[in-house]
Amino acid sequence: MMLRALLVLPALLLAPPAVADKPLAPASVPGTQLVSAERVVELIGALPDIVIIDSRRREEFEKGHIEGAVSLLDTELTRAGLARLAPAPDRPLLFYCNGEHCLRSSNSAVQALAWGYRRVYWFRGGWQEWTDKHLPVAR
Amino acid sequence: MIPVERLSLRAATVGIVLVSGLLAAALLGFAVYTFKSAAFDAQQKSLTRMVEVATLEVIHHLDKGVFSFGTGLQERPEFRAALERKLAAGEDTVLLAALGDPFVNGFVGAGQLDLVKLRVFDPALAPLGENASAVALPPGLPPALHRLAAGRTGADRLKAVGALWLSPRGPLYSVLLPIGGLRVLGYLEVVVDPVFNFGAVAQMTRMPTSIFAMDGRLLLQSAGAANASGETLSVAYLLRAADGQPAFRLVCLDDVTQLRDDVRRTSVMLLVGIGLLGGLAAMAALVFLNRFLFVPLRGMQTDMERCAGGDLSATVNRRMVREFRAVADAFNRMAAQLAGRIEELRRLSCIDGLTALSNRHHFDIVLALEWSRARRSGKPLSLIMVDVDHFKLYNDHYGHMAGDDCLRAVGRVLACAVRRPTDVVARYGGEEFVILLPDTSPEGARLVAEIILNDLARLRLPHAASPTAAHMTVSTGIVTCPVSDDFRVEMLVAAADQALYQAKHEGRNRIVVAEMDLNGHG
Repeated sequence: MMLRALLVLPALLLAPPAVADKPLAPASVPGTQLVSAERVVELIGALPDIVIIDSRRREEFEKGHIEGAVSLLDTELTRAGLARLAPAPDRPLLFYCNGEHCLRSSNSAVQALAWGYRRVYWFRGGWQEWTDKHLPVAR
Repeated sequence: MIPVERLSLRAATVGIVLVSGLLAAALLGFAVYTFKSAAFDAQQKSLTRMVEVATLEVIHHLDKGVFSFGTGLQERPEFRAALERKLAAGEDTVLLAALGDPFVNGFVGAGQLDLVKLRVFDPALAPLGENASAVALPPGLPPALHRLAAGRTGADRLKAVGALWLSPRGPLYSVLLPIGGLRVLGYLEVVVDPVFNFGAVAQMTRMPTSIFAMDGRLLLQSAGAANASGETLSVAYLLRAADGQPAFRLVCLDDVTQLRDDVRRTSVMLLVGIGLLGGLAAMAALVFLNRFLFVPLRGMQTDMERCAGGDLSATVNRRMVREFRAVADAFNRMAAQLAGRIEELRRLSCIDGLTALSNRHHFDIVLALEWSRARRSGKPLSLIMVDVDHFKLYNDHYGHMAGDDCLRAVGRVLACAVRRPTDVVARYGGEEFVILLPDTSPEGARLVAEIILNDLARLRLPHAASPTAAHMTVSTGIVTCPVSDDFRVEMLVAAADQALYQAKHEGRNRIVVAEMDLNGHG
């Protein structure tokens, strides 16, 4: 018993404390294409009609976002609201939020798939990955 | 080279123990020295690593600071507008004014950055303009940064890059940021002097730190670096620029008083402990060897020498280690055998082969002994001389073999006639016997002689050729010595002989007692 306690203690000390509490976004969302920050830049260049949706809260969006993105919180996402941004279901959509500990963009992407959008990209790393890579920020 | 026969086992052992001790001491000294230098080496190595980590952390912070400063600058609308006008109309003044904005230059990173230069490049990395600072830098990007930026394509082009580089002014740190968001309009290079930030190394490592340029100039010195007290270990770390050239030399001083004391204490404890243990072990070994080897060996040597000196009854003490015990046992066996052989030889040398009585030689020895004893004690000493009558005739008649048997028979009769252990019966020669009777009066001696004659008469050994009797007879002469100083032992035998002669002359088979006067003359 004592031995086990001794073995468990360093494991607890070594583990990053915050990770355990926060929920983790799914590794992938079926039906969407998982992309990295570099791929996002390439998509913006390659697909002029791509709609980038920032699923974070409004104030986070205003502090900085990917150039050309629109703010649309996952809880405020409606079929009509999305249809205003992307009238046709074959319009490419890209969702991102804070990062891998944020479930907003994956929820939005699942919702978009359910509404029939076929070309959905999901930037799982989100804002965290974007700023970590020192990529340009729009305000 | 010492001759081996002059070397004692004790000296050799003590020498070996001493030499081993000296070797062990030398080894211990070497080990302590190695331990000391290893401790300081390890300390220096770990401190160097610490300085390296602190330095890289400072660079990382610097990079982040410069990046956020550059991002803040390029987001200013007037800066964007000036760059766009420059790119569209080639208008320099607006851009230079934007770069030279005293507000921008005056509030660099809230005092965390030592700004040296701001430079603007077009998307192909060709220089467009720079602010009017007093510092002149070589035109164009530092080569290391240029290589890094030019090698980037696609999304990577949008990422800022930074590097430490060497300018004629000294080492500088540059961060190159893309301007214009996702479509790159140009690049902004922010050049800072990193020396100011390296002061943090001293705070992070908690060691007084001096930072030198590669030409030896002292650039920065933290408090205590110049006048460090106590024993210090200096840790030098060479910081290299992006192209591999050394840029800065950081020298940190670590107070190793504690470490030195620890090392000294450990060394002393090691020395004393091992020395004490080794000394005790060596002493125990010597005591053990002395108790179980040297002392018994010396005892064995003494015992053997006593044996060799002739005392064969002396035995070697066998309470020793097994090998020496075997030697002692073998020696004891040898000594015992030798003693037995000598005893046997001595016995044989005293005995007459035919009759098993004492021989003439033994008789002479005993006579001399008893003579002197009689003179000391003053007691009378009697001598009976016995001669077989007509022995030559017996031999001629019966043959020599029968003669020998006859002598043996007479000898047995003589041996039976004496009763006391001190009486000695000896064959004096041919058919002549002699009986020595210490502490015996002439009457006692006569008694013995009569017993002999009677026994022989009773035995009736046939002697057909004897003119005296039909059986074997003897003549006896008795002498008893008087107590006198001028009487000599030869005279005793001569007197007995004389008496015997008289007995023969008077007809044999009789006893004649020599008449001795007080003057010792027969």
